[in-house]
Amino acid sequence: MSRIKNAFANKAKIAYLTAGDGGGVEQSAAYFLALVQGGVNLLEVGIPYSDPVADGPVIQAAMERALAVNTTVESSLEIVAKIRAESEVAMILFTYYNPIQDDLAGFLTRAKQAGADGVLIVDLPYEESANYRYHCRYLGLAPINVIAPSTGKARMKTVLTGLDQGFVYYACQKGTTGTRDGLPADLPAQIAAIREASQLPVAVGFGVANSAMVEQILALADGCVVGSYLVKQLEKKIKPEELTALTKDLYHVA
Amino acid sequence: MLIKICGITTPEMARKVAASGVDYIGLLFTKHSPRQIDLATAKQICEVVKDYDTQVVGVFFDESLEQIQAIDAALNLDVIQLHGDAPRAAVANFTHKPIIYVADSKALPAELNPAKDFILYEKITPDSTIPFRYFIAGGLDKDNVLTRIAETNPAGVDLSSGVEITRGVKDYGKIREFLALVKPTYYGAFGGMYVPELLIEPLHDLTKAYHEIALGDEFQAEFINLLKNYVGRPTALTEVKNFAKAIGLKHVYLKREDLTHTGAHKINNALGQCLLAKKMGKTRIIAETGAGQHGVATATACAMLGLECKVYMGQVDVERQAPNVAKMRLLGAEVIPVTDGSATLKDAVNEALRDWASSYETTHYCLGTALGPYPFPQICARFQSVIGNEAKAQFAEQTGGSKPDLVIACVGGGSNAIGVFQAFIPDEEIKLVGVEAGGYGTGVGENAARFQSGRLGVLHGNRTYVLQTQDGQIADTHSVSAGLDYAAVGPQHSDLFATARASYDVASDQEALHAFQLLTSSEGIIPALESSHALAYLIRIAKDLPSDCKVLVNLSGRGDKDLPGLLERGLIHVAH
Repeated sequence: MSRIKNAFANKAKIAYLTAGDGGGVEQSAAYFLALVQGGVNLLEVGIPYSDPVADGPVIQAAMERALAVNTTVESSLEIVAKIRAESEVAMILFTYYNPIQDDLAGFLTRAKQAGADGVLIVDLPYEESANYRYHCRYLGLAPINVIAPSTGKARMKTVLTGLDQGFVYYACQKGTTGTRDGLPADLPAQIAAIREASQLPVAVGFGVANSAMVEQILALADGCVVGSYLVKQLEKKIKPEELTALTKDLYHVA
Repeated sequence: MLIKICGITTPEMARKVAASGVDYIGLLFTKHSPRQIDLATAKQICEVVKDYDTQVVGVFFDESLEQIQAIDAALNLDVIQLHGDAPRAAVANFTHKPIIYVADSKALPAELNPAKDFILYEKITPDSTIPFRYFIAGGLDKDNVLTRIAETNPAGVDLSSGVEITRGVKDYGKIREFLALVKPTYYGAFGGMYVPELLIEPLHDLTKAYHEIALGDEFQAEFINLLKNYVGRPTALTEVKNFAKAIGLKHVYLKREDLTHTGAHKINNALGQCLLAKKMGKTRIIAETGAGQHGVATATACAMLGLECKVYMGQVDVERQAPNVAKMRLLGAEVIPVTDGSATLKDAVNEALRDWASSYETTHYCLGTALGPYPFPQICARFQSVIGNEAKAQFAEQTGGSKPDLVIACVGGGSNAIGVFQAFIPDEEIKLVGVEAGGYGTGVGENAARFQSGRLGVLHGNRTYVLQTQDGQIADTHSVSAGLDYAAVGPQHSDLFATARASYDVASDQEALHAFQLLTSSEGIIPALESSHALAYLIRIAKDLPSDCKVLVNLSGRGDKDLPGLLERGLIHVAH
């Protein structure tokens, strides 16, 4: 788990892609590694799902593309293992609950073996998370918890108390994933409220669409997540080396 | 919250307790317990429990290591529980299984592996700040359990005598009461709130409003008045003698939800939810719809209550239920065709949830059936309970005080079925049957028969039976009727299925079309294709019923909406 800590030591630059998007295990791993070349120090590897209700059109389309080339939970883990063989970058898995619920403990065990450092289950809120949190603790995986604009201060305490691994993921916009024109006005206040509830580093994501927004977020928070903006590039069939260049621009990496 | 029930003594008791949604059952082998069982019984119990998610705990007091090993070898226990005099260190060395250590002092057991083990505090009050999982036990009853949980913050509660009628005899009613208290968002093992964090507080707000507003006298008076004077309730209970005769029965009664304003039971729930939304200060309503009946009902309620309305509907359904699309638009609703995925009800729910995630401050999501994240199944079931309550009273009135022997309803999400079933659940002698869409085959994608698939999953916020692929992707479904064409089923139905209080069967497209025509020609009642599935099941099993069997079928809606599509596709024929 020190990999996640390292990523946050000097601002975490976090990037999301859907596993299998870009065409199969090899090619998908190449895109993730291209992000690392571009300065990303924490990868968020999305497992494709047929009914991604938290995602907007761009990531929905990416999941459809990934499923069309038969990407499964297991092949997503193969992609993680491939990335891990090449890089010590911090890595978390992003998934919906249904594809893994049949054997949660087995999935988390295999995720750990493949080289993941943490897991985010987007539709498994605190109320349903006891088993997941427990197995993560047992395996040495960080359970990544999302805080949303609707989460009140009391609930932040409930959700975050007792967590000492990973980071807090603040999904700063209402609605689904997808790029937005700007950051919400309440962002500084919300980050301050999260810091009151938890000692963990705070990463902010949802809607980040350009390097100016990345800069603004990193001035306030400990990490910044970019998803749909990058996924959109794969939709345009960008080459891995082009993705590296674009990521460098996005995160101002020399 | 985990629930463990100790002292299970028979396979039948184990089955009932496991089916209730209990997480762990404890078996006792010591001769010092009145709940002692032998190995042969324990084996039978383990066999029965395999069908459920429930784990088996071997509870040991003074047995030797060899005895414990032998029992574990014979039963392959999931968990081992060790009381004070058991050989803790030796057991901890031989097994990698989770162990529950019964605490005999404030100090933690030396052998505790916090990564897998539990502590059980029976007599000692735990220190609620310790980061280990623990159960609380001892003297828990329904009056004190919530206070004790709040005080001690346990991972689970352990019950034994608190849920017994007499020593060793479990009281299933009490177990259900406990479950309802400790897992209020669940029906047994089903339900819950599986949604992104963003929607949790809006769901909590809705739960609060439901309890504080919708269950209040003022709201209920207004709602009942609307049901009577706007919806046209009570709807009739019609004895259909010609239809009964045609299938070899004597007493068949239809609860006529087709006679409501807008032509289906959906209006009961839509009106209730829209009225609640208005009282919550919401100005905008969104809804999903399959057959279009819920969409029409919601658009109607919104027109009457002065609310903005947007309905999501799969493109496939937009095409096969054209009259309802026109009605919704006429009523002032915006209808959004959804082209994602299979372009049916499931995809419409996805879009409605996405809309709600950005609009919850001003908007109520009027979910049309008895599923989704808590509190939706509860709210819908409550607003639909009027169906069963009326039917029960009308049945008694028309038959000189008797009750039906058999109650049948079609099940898509399950709102009309739960609406009629609820009133009869306490009458255990009355058989309840839900009928799913059998489509045109038994393969994945050829039907919407969730219970036949036997697979549990999570879809649209609740844990229930879900049609899915091997890889856990939601499967495509098929039914000739749009309202049954959905991959998951309401959690309360899953619970009724697991506890065997209701059974579930299927009717195929062809059987439903036949039933549609038979009721129309024999009684002058055109049923919805959805409701035709319930009739089709009755037609198929009629020959196996005693001819004087008293049957109640919930006729959930009328079939006008289906006619253009059926005629166009040549699925029914009209003589010229």
